[in-house]
Amino acid sequence: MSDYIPENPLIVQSDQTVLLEVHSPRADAARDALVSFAELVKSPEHIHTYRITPLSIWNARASGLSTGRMIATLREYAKYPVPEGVAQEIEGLGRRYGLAVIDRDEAGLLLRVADAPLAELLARDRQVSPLLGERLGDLAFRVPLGVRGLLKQALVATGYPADDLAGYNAGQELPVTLRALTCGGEPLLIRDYQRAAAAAFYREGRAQGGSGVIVLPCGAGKTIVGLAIMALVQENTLILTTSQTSMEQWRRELLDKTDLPPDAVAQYNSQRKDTGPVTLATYQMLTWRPSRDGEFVHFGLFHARSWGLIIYDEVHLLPAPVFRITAELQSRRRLGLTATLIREDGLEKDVFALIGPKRYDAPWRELEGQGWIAAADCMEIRVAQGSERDMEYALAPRRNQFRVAAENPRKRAVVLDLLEREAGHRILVIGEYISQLEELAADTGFPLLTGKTPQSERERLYQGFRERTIPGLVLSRVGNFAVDLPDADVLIQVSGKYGSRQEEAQRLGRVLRPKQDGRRARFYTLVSLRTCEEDFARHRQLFLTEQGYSYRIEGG
Amino acid sequence: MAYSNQPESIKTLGDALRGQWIGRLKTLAALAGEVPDKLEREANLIAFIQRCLNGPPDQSGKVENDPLPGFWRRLDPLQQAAVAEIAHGPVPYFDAYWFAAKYGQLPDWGGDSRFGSGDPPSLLSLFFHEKVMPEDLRRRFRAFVPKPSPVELPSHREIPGEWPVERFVQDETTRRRQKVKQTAAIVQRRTDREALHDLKVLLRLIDAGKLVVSDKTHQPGSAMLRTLDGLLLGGDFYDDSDYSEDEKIGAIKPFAWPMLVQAGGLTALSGKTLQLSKAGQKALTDPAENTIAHLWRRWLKTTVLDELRRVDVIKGQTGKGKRGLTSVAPRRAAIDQALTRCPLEQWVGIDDLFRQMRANRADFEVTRDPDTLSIYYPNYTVGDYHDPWKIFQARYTLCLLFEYAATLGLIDVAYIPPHGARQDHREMYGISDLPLISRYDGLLFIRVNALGAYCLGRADRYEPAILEFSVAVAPRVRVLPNLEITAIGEPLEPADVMLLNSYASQTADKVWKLDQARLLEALEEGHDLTVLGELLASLSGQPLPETVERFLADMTARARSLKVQGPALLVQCEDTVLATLIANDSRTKPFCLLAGERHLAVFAECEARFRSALRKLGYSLPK
Repeated sequence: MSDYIPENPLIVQSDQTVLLEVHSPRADAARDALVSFAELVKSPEHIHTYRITPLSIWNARASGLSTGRMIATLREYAKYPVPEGVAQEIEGLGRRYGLAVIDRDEAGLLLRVADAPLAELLARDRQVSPLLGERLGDLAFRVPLGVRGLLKQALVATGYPADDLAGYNAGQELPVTLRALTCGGEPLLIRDYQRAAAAAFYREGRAQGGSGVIVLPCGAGKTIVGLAIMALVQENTLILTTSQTSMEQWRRELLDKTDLPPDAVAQYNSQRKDTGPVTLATYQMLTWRPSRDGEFVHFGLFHARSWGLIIYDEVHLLPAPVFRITAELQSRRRLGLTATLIREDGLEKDVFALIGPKRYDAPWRELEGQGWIAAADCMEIRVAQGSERDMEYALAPRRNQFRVAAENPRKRAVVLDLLEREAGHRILVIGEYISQLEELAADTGFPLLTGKTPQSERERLYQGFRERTIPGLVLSRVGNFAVDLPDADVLIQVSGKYGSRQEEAQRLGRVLRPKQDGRRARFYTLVSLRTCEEDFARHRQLFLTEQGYSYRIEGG
Repeated sequence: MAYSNQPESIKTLGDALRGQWIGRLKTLAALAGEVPDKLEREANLIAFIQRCLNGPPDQSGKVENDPLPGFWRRLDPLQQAAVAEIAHGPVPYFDAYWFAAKYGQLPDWGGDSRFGSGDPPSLLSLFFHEKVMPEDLRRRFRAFVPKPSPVELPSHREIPGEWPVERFVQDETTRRRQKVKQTAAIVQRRTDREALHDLKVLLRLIDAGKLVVSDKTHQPGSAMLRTLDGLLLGGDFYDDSDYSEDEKIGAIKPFAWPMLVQAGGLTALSGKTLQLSKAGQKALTDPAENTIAHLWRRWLKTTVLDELRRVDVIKGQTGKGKRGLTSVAPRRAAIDQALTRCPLEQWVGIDDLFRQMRANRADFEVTRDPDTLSIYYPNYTVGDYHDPWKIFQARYTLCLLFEYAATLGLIDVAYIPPHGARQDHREMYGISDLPLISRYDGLLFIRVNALGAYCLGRADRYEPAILEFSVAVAPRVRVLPNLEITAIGEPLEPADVMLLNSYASQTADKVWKLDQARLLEALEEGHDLTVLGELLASLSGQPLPETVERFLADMTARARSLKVQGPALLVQCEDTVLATLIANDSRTKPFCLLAGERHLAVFAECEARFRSALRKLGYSLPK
């Protein structure tokens, strides 16, 4: 069949997805060409899936790529004929980009459109029209200052994305330089992909850059990317994180790897409400309010200084109120950092619209192959419950069954077996239910960290683990995020939050920091045999398999 | 059972002569020796002929010098062959068609030929009476006449690329039908690989519940035939889509497969849909060559179809002629035997095979009463035709070979379109200008291949031709650990797509996703996930990812966790005590189970026994 070109790596499908056969000799070239107008959706072994979306096309158009070039790329690398509908879609969507432009004049922001019919369409659109101000002739509208983000969101929803050329407000200047040597005397190495991620975000300061999300696996050094971008922007920066521990980690990294003095890095938390050229705060702090209907009293932080850059760490956890305020912050540069764009609440599109499009993504397994993150073996161990417990499970109300299965007492013996098998390694035991974790802490002799553990105690235990005085830790959900424990190489997950793929990814991330001796990380998940935990586990594994990890399943 | 067209045997020469008229006896006497004058009476003539052939007896009545060898030596070689064939053959009568089939011509009967030329009869007429050799003569000839040699079957490594055909076409200028000689390109099909493929296609199609046949005839309809044609490797033997309506050939392979799998017991009919039987389910995972061997063995005995029905021009098969038709099993056995005599991996001309079958008496009858069958026109019965073997046995054999043996991949075939391919009906009145007698007429050569050798019991195992299978096959799909299946190579076979669709949801043009609901549904319908696993492994050329393998195993285990035991009657008792009493009483316990506190589940099939036991317990259950 002449239409079939076996050596080509791309399979373009009519649903706008593009499959990349990674073992093909032309895979690298095809990937390089493809990433500029398609988003990586998943990257399991052998085949990576990309999706061509309106946003990916508009982003590509924004970077100057023509639709003709996009279609030519697909045709050049496609194994089978490219469905005509896909080419037409690229052509049609690509043509829409730039028909609406957000610009700035002396009087403020304005929206210009390409032709009168579009102006009439937008003027009558249910989502767009309330955000438009005075009409300035046939082809322009005044845009109130506070609605820039909402207007962009509405224009995207209408299918006429605005080319935002209004630029960013210059923040207060902050000279930041990355050190050549860290405070510990180690040379500071910015890896190629970190440099590429920073460049993809900043785009040499042009209006087309400056907002968006960098997706890198846990342990791949997202903080370094954040620092590199700060060094490019050179303006006051607000950094929002998920926890106090994470704030501490950012502070350590800022002081260790940049030339910022300690007094330039302020923490805005329950104890101290300091602000400085670089200010660290948590989402929890920002979204606190005295009553359910009260105001978010700490939102003032967003306007406390003239921020040139706002960094949203673990952007997939961004709470809804922060989204809302972010819509008002479109004149600031916004950087989202995450290991996964999966949001269990399905608000991925708001991340795209309000923080910005994905600017950089790298398959985990590729970074693993290059040695930037540790190689990991994932294993699911199925643990029988015993007939008595099986009966308890069977008789439990449906909503309680998961917990009965998750707290299967026989998992304790398996954990002990694993500790014996992994003796000498740096082990984290992580779970969902405190009672189960307390039993495991007692069994293993490892200290237990939960949400109730005071911050100072947490820091002490983490420090002990880093310094090898503590061989292992038992962690509740607090261990899911931003725990910088570089030496941890074995993680035993005894229970989880139902089928959360995000949690699975975060937890694996705890052991992915590259090990000095190059040893492989091990990720064990204990699952009760013949229970709903098996189904949830399968769902959780999806993210990891789609990142290229293969699972072994033992027992049962 | 004697067939109506078989002459009866004659015990002695005397018996034979006694039935002759006087003129004939005089002629025979003249052949036997020098006839004395005035030998006119019948008895004298018979005695003279007997004396000449038997020799003068001595005083004890024994013949010292048998004159028969002397007579035999006077025969030419072909006449000697005729005598030898009858002397050593199974029947006493001379079958001219059979003899001509073996020797290519008839012996010289002189003026005693069927149509009589006026010439004197030849010496052969002394030994044959109404073409029957008396038993006493047979016995005596057998004593000294050498046994005739069997016919060797010529075979060929190579066969020609073209074949001459003769067709009648309408000359538009003269408005007459004219005979036109042409050549047709010979198509060669290596069938074993096709059959191995097609068997899987059929089984998967049935497994997917998509093979529909008539609930009366068990035959597929025209829409089904078209579907099958598209699914079989290489399609049917002929693509007649461009042929005019009156030249359409009709389906061969697509027709044969549904019949074969039904005859082989691989399916059961549910309404009009074929479903896999237990044997069929097993065949999904068994080596295909074993299943094919099984199908051939079962076909040899099946009564699901008489292949003669596939020769449309033979009329009368459903009327009174049906009673005269012979059993199909011996016919097929004869052809099966003929195949076992064919050299392996060598081409054999179909007419050579016919000749050998007839000459070596590996023959069969199609009907006991040829006059009840007609060809094309109802008024031309078999008896009217010269050598009806060419019509009936030949077409039956062609059908079995082409439609069933070749479809099953036992024989490779070389063929041309059937129109004008065979000339053996050209001399037959009324049908001489028919372009074809059956759709199988184009079969010219067959070759028993490796699969045939295995299925016919001539090889211990099937060893496919090395060249065919040594080529590395590029993977057609990738099975991903996230339970997705992606088609990446040459387009998938429609049958494979069909199977994938039965077990997985197609989420994009080239992507299928395994999901729990779909798999459980498939299992509920009786599908076997091993089949899916094997398909995926074979298409991807590598073992399945552990997540996928485990997922399939989990689903299979879950499906096996529950079993339907049959319907039950739910009986409510007055109170818990009574329910417990009945559930535990030794008389009622075998037929019911306690369901909850006050209910009993009574197996529907045990209802009568339960009621009886209940009465013994002192209770009754209102109907």
